[in-house]
Amino acid sequence: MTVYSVSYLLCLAGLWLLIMPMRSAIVRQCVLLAASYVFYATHGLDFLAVLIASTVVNYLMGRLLRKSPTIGLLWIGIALNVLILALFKYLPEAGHGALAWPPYSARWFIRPIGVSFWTFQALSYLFDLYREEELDPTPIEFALYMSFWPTVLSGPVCRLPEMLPQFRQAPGPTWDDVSRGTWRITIGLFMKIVMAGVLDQGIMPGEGVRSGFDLYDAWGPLDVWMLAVGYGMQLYFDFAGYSHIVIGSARLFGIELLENFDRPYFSLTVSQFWTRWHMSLSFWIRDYLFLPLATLFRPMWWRNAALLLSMTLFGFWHGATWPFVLWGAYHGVLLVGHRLIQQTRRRMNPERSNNPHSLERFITWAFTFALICLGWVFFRSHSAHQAITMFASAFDLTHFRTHVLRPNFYLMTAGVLLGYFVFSGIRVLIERADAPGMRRLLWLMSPAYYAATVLLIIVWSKQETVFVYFQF
Amino acid sequence: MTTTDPIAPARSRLARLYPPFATLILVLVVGNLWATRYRFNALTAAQNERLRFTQGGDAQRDASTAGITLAEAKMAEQAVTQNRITDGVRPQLMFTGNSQALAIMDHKDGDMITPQWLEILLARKSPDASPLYDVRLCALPNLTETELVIELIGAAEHQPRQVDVLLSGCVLEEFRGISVRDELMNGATPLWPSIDALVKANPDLPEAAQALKSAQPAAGTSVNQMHVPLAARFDDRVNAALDRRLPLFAERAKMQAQISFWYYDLRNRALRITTATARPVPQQPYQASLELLEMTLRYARSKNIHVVLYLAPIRPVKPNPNLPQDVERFRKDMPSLAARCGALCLDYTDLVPEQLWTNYPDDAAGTQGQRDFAHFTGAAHKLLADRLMVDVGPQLQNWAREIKAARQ
Repeated sequence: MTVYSVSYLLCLAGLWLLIMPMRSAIVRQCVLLAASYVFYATHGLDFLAVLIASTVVNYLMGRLLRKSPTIGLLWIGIALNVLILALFKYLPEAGHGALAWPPYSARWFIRPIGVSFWTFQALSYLFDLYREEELDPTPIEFALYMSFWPTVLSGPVCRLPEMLPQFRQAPGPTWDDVSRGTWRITIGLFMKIVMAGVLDQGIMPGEGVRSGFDLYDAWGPLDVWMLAVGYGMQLYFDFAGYSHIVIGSARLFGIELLENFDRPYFSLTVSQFWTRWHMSLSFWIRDYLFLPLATLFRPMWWRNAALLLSMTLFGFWHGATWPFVLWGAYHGVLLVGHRLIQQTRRRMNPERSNNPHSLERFITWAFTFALICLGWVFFRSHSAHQAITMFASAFDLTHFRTHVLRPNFYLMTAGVLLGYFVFSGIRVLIERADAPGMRRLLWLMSPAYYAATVLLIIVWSKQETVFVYFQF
Repeated sequence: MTTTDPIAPARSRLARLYPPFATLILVLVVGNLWATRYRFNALTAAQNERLRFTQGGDAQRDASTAGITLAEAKMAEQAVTQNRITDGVRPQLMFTGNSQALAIMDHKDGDMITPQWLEILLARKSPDASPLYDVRLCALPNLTETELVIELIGAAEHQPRQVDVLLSGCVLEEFRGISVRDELMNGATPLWPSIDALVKANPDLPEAAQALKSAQPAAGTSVNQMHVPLAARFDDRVNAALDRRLPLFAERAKMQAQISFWYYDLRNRALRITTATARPVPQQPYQASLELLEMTLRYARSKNIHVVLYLAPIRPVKPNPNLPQDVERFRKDMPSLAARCGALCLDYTDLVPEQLWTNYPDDAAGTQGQRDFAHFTGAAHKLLADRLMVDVGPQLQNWAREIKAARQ
């Protein structure tokens, strides 16, 4: 069951009505756990078996770590989780992917959806216990943490210290929870079904990002740049839309999940981008991989190497294919480059203001946006060869006038991009304008705005749609 | 001392309830009104009111004015009947092409499309005036060569077989794209093993392989993991129930098409795009389309399917959306491709004279009074059928005899 299907919304409403009158936190936990298992089982009973096995193993490891938080036990826990990832994520992929080195067929292995997400949640639990955080989940609570239906398929990657108090809270959801939850589900469905769907397929079949990447192999520079921007927007609408839906779903039950996106394309630097894009995972990488690595040795080169390594592993987390590894490494290089530039500037002009003027901000923003979008070429490519070909084409100025993509693709992508920034700008202006008259007017007009959004969702809901992040 | 407003809680409750309830009412009222008031025909909206797509029921009604017998009118009906039932003995002629093969401009009583005429004219050549072939119209608006491969494999693997002869109208403009529409892709699921085998058997056609590979459902994503029978069945039922009860849901696809139509209309007005605006055919989709066609012909040959290709007529006026250099290239490449693969290729580019084409009506949205370069009149359909009979009629008769003999 996908979270953007009609049946999901009906089941969600049914579950909400069932849970609303419940006052006991334990009973509520049991019902939520049962619902989560049923939801996950709709994707495959064998997937559920792997999830339960991982839950049991990690819970037992957690108990051992709580008794004696030693590095040896932590390494055993890490090894077990890496083994789960290797068996159920990388082994099936390796058989088909670009790193197709093993001489066996990978088709016999199952690949539970979301295995990378809930394995990282389990790992963060073990890390937190090793750091001697006070965590004492009951088996039901831990199982719910691992399998909670809004997060089990594609995150956000949560952490037990934030989830446990919410699982234990006695009162049910407030009116504010319900209203914000519903709104986030609606906006998420709009982003996922309408915006990402249109960018993926195009207004007419064959005029979208999918065709641009899949059907051609001789792009001009403008084609590559436009495809990179188009895919960047598609991925954002797809994943941020999905995140809105699941965060909204949890909020309906009074549970606040970690945020995953915060207007990432408004970032002025690549470092800022990584505090706004897939935040739950990037913060996980920062806290549990980069910081422990970077603090191992003092020299600056080691910190940069740790950053590069962390980002490359971040790419590898998405899949055992060269394009993902290259994408991670590319961002590692960008982040290290940004650090070095900052250090040099500080050394050259220590008095320099941290608040650049508008033109400088715009240039920095445009440069960052272009670099990030170009990185999506690696992320979306089917092979390293395709990625490198496209990357090279992006800078092939001798063919600047050549383009193979339909003019409609250019028009649509430019329209969506412009629409996104204009809409976001208007939202910021409205948020800043705190006049009571304006608020009242917005409140009065809100049903028209919501109704238009819902109508577009319904109209586009007949179109086939896939979720990009399901593959991770 | 603070004063309390006794109706404040009620007012605040009302304020909370206003947005969701008003939204719900607006969605239901506006949505259903839109769905029921503005009946939208996706097939003809982008065209105009003067364009008629042939459907079953027309030929019998028009029999007297068409100068055909009632029996022939029945044959003409059959040629455009979807899922025509075959007796498994009579040869099957699959007629494909884009909307040009389906549509008649300025339809007059008695007008019929080429495949209908072809069935009748072929029957007239048979000794007992019975149909020589079951003609099957498989044309689709904007049919791409990728879709042609899928259609042909579907017909060839059907039991009983639905194609012995493929007669395909090749339209230059459709060589600009190689995508596959959703409804065809979804119906093609059982054919993917055959398509994969065909791709593997033709490693020298990489562009065709790439087009077919990317046409498979959600290429590059783990769509199989999302295929959940139980949840999907439940979802289908919920959707079907909503479709039955609310026009807003039942007409979703048409409403989406209408929004797309508005978008294109706006685009055309803003950018001053007309029907005569040049539509160049880029090299890559053109090359991929050629390879796809070659793959189709190779497949047909391996299954003993005879193939006749014709280059679809182009309106002989200037300015023209088809660039002369593209037309030249097309007229050069197609015959050599057909010869390579043992197919017949007929060049009908200049067949239909200007007087058998028409313009859009003066009040057509977005295309007021502009020339229609895609579709022609009923007389042109007849002209095309007559010319086919002259050029390949005897060959079609021979093939029909051979096929019948082999079956008996």
